[in-house]
Amino acid sequence: MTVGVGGGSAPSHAARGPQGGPQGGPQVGTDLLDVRDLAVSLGGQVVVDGVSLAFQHGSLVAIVGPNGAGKTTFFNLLSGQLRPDRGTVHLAGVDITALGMPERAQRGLGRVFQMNQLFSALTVIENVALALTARQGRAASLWQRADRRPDMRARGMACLEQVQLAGLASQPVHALPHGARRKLEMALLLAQDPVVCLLDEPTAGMAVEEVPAMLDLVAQLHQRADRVILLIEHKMDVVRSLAQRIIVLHQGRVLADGSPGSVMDSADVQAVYLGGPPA
Amino acid sequence: MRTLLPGPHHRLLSLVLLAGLLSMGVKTWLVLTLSGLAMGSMLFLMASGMTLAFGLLRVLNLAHGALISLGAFAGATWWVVRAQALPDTVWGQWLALLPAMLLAMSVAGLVGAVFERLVIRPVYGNYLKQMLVTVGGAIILTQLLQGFWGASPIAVPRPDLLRGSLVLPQSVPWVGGLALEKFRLLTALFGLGVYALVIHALERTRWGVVIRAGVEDREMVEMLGHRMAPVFLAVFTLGAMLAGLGGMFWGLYQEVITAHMGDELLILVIVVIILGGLGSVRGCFYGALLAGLVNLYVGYLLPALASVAVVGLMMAVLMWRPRGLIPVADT
Repeated sequence: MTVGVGGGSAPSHAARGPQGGPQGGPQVGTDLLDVRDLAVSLGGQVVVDGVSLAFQHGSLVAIVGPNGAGKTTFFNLLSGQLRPDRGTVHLAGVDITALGMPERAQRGLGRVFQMNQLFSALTVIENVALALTARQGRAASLWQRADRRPDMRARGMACLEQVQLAGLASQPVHALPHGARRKLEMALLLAQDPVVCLLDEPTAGMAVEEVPAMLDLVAQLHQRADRVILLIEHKMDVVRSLAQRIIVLHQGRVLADGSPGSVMDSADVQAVYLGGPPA
Repeated sequence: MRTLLPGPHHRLLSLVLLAGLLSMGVKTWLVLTLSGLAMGSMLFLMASGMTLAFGLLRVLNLAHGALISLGAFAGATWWVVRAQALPDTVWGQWLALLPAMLLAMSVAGLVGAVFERLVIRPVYGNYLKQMLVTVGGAIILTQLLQGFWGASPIAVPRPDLLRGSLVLPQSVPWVGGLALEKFRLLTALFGLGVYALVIHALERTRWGVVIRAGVEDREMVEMLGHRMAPVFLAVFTLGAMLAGLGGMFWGLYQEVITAHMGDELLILVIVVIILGGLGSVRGCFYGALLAGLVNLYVGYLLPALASVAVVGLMMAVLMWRPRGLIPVADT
C-alpha cells in the first residue's frame, strides 16, 4: 500500500540538472521520488525486498522499523552507495538507478548519516564550502578556495548562522562537540540545497536539550515547499512531531504506510515493531 | 586553526639535529646535515606521490619504484643525448637540464596516468589484487627499461653547473672555509620549493580541499556531489610525475642509473611514508628529512648500522606514535 501525502503549497522546481540549475517547472501533486520494486541482497541475505514507494513534493516522511529492517540500506540504494539487484529509482521522472553518488547529489539528493561523516581535518567553513562548490560543478574555480571568495563565504556563513555555528567557522571540526557536529551536517545539507533530503537519525547521540534545535532545523528544511524529506528515526515522539506519513519497514519489506495515526493503530505494526497492543 | 606550538615532527627533527651536532664537529655536522637534507628532499619527491595515492585512493602502488626508474631514464636520455649538442655555457647547461626534468616528469606522468586507468582503476578497494597487479606492472616496466637500455649500470655525468662547491668565507666563525656541495644545496632547496608548492596547492586551492577531504572520507566527498574519478587520475599522475622527477635527481646524485634502482629505493620510500603517517604529505616531508639525516649521521658515526638505521627510526616512531608522525586527521 502506498499513501501519498500532499505537499501543501506549490513547489518551485523539481530536481536540478547536472550542473545544479533548475530543471523543469512546478509539478504540483506529482511524485518527486519514485521507487519501484527495489531489492538488494548483502552477504546472501535479502536486505531490501521489492520496495515500491512514491514521495510527493513537499512531503516529510518517517521511515521506521526495528534494527535490521533495511532502513539504512534503503537510504544507501537511494543515495547511490549501493546498486540494487533489481528495481528502479526515478527522481523528477528521470531514471537515476544507474547514476553514481556524485551525479545523484548534483541532481539534488542530499544525505545526513547516522554516524558523523564530516571532514575532521578541515575547518567548519571549509566543510560547508566543499558542499557549496560541489553544486557549482565545473563552474567552480579549480584554484580558488570557495571559503576565500566573498560571495561563497557569505553563503557558507549564512548556512552556519542557520545552524548557530557561525561563531565556530574557523574551528577545525575535530575540536567540535558531538551536538555541534550534527548541526554542521545539517549546514552541509543546507549548502547543498537538495530537493530530496535523506536524514538518517539526525538526533542520534544528541543530548536531550539539543534535540529541539535539531527538530527546528528539520522543520526549516521542510519550509521549502517542493522538497521531500525522508527521516529514519527511532524516537517515536520525534517521528510523531514531524512526519506527515510513516512507513514501517520489516525484513526489507513495507509493512505499513500511511498517516501517523493509522500506522500507530495498525495491529501488524504493534505486533512486529511496538511489541504489543497499545495501552 | 593550526597551533603554533612545535609538533612531534618538529621536536623529533630538532632532537636528531641536536644529537648529530653533539656527536661530531660543527663542520662535519654541517656537511652531513646538508647532504641529509638533500637526500631527504629527493626521498620526499619520490615518496610524496605514493603517500597521496595511498591516502586518497587507498592504493599501495608497488610499481611506484618502476616509475622512479622510468623518470631517471627519461631524464638521462635527454641529458646524455642532447647535452652534447648544446653550448657548454651555464645557460646551455640549464637548457639541457630543464627539458630533462620536464621529460622525466612527462614520461613518468603519462605512464602513471595510463597505469591508473588500465591497471589500478579496476582493482580499487581490493588490496590483494592491487599488490598483484602493481607488482606485475613493476616487473613489466623494469623489463622494458632493461630491454631498451640493457642491464648494465649507465653513467649519468652530473652537469658542470651542478658540480663544485660553495666555499664559506674564512671570516665566518666555526665554519669558515667549509665547502658545501652545490648539487646538494640546490637539491635541498628544490625539494623545499616543491614541498611548499604541494602544500600550497593542498591547503589554498579548491582542488586541494577536495583532495584533503577525499583522503579522509572519499565516499562523503562523492555524496556531496564531487566527482572523484578525475581527482584520482590527477593525483596519481602528479604522484608519478614527482616520482619521475625524484628518480632523475637520484640518478644525478648517484651519477649512475639502473633499471632496478627504483626497486631498491622503494623500500626506503615505503619506510618514509609509514614513518610520516600514511596519506600525509606533510608527514612524508618530515619523514623524508629525518630518514635522510639519520642515514647520513649513522653512516658516519656507526657505518655498520647505516643500512638499518632508517628502519630502526621508523620502528621507534611507530612505538611512540602508531599512526606515524603526522596522521592524516591531524594534518
